[in-house]
Amino acid sequence: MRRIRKIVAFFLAALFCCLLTGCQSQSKQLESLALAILFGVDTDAEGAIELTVQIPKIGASSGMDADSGDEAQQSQASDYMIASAKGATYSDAMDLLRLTIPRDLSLRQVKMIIISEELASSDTFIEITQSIAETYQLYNAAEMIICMGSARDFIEEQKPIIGTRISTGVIAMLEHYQERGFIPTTSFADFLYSCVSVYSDSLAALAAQSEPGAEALPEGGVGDSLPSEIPAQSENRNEYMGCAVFRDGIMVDKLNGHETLFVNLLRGKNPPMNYTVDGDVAQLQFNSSPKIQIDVSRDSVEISIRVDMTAVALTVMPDIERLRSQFEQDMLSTFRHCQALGVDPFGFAEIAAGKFLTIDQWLEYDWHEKFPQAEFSLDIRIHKSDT
Amino acid sequence: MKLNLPLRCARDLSIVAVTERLFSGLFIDTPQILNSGWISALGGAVLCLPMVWLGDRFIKAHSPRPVADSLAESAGAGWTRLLAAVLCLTLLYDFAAVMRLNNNSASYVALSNVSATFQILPLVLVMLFSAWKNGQTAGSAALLWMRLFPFLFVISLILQWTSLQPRWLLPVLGPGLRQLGKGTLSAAGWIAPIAAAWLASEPGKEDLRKNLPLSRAVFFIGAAASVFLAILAMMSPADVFGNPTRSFQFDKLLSNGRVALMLQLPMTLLWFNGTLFMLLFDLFLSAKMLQIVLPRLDGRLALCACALAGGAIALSGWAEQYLVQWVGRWQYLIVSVPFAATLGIALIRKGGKTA
Repeated sequence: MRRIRKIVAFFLAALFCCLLTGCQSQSKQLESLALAILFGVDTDAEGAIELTVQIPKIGASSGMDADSGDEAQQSQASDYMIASAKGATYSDAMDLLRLTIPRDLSLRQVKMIIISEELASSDTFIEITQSIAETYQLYNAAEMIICMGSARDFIEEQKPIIGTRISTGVIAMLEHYQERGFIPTTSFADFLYSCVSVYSDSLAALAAQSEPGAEALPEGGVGDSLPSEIPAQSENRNEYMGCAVFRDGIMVDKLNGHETLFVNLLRGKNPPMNYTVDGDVAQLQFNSSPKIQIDVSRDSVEISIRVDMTAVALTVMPDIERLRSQFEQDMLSTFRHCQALGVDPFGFAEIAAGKFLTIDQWLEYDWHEKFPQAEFSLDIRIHKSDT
Repeated sequence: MKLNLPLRCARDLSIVAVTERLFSGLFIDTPQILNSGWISALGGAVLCLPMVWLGDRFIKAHSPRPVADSLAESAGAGWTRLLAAVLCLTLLYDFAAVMRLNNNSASYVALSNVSATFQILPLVLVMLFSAWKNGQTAGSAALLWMRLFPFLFVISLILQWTSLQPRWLLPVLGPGLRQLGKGTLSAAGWIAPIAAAWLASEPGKEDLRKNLPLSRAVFFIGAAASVFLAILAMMSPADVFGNPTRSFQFDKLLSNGRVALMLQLPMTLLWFNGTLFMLLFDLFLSAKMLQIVLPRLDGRLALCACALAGGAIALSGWAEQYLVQWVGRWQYLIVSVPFAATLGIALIRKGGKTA
């Protein structure tokens, strides 16, 4: 009897192994996959959608044994395949793309989703965003980038300048810029959730290819630049600076690096800021996230913000009162810019919504009507560092 | 073979399976409740508490005999069989619905190219194999999972800690009282099948020392599901304008759109193991209910019949999401009315006296 039970158990185990569907398909072998690491979406004048992917050629040479730098770089660039497909709709373009690429296209390893500014500003963008979200197994935590110009050209220019792999290089690069605070940290899912939520408006990092001719910094310094305006030269033509702001899922304008710093600050990121007053430079370090209170009981919204920070002299400590005044002016200027656009990328809506019992009451309040008339009261406290 | 389920195993299996069912029903199949699902979870538990409390009092009054035998003696075999039949059909349908849910989530994670038949058939066999080992094994497995679950859950939580935004729980009443009421009714419907665990249970002498075991289980189920839903609600803002599909909700649940791929394994384990326990609960208890309706039916035959029937329903159009949502809203009444009627008759026939 025991023997029979063992035989039956063995037979059942074998049967389950055969039925385990994960073992049936051969298409999940690595050589059967084309793992895209960059994914771009463009549109043209007729409204057609172009999808572009960059795929590493697994097993290609690393270019380390090339004789000259240019040859090494070309070799590294050729380690990646760029494929594009254009269709009348997003799904047509995706079908064509899958046909173009001679392997099973996998979007599970995508690091950046790059959308052209033209597409982001179009009326159909929110539908395209939904289509992107429904793409099978797209890695939704990929960074969302809005590109001034063509996403395809941007992707073609993305090369492993430092290091040998774009996948790790892109992550390191984005972390570097995000720590500086000049671009926001926004995954595609964050962006999508914001578009369909009842709270603040969505934003995404801004990027562009550098253009020849930018020779001088704007008056406010590098932070007042947009990408492609930074007068720096390097092999890396792709520049990341500032953010694109959206209302109801459509891009309305751009914020420069400095304005993006304030957005990041109010969203709780606390990036260090360098401020120059009369040639004296101090770094502002935030002791805690800003304290924000919103009063919706009156006709106009009153937003009170308190910021506590420590100033660390990088050269000579500037006059603290002038520093405070300049900081306040810059913050108010950012608010006025966004109020003029009718967008709230700061996260104020999340705080204001807590004053209501139901979402219907909150929608009836109509934050997008109230925010442009909001009044700000700032309490900026700067302490000098002992060091 | 007689299917049996000690009371403590019924309690453990119910806690694991019904918590997951409540959580999945509110998060995946009731997206219109937005980020206030945690309120409906608590409300559903409160709605079910009177029913379960009555059941606990009945156990205390008639133990240590099996509940089905005591009920047949008190209310009559006819009413007991009627109650068992209603519960059997309810659990059979839920078995099919959860298999579909499991199939949808497997397709989302990895198996989109595989047909539903090849996904559901092995699942039916695995569940049959698990339930074959009878109630004590199922209960012990549930107890083990209750001990493992917190570790995986804490890992997932720590990795996502910085993404949690309590502000997204506000406005607190979310979609409004009407939608919350519908959600509460659905939540109560997903908890109500615990009545089958009650009817199938066999209290032992050691269970007599514990007070109100199933009421405490329902309280725990409501609280646990409420906590899970509140945590999930803090991970993304309420989606008012979208029309989220199951895939969209799975994406929010399993990857959340901002986690590293390494997080997906603990969350995936939590989710899929939970669905397996839901299936085990539904299959075992539907077979036990069938055995109560037809006492001469062998337990193994009952399991096979229920597994095949559930598989067939899962592969048909009857287990589509919109039907599952509709049934969920009525399930509380479908279960609680015959339950209350049967216990009421038991009370009347006994003249209101307890042993």
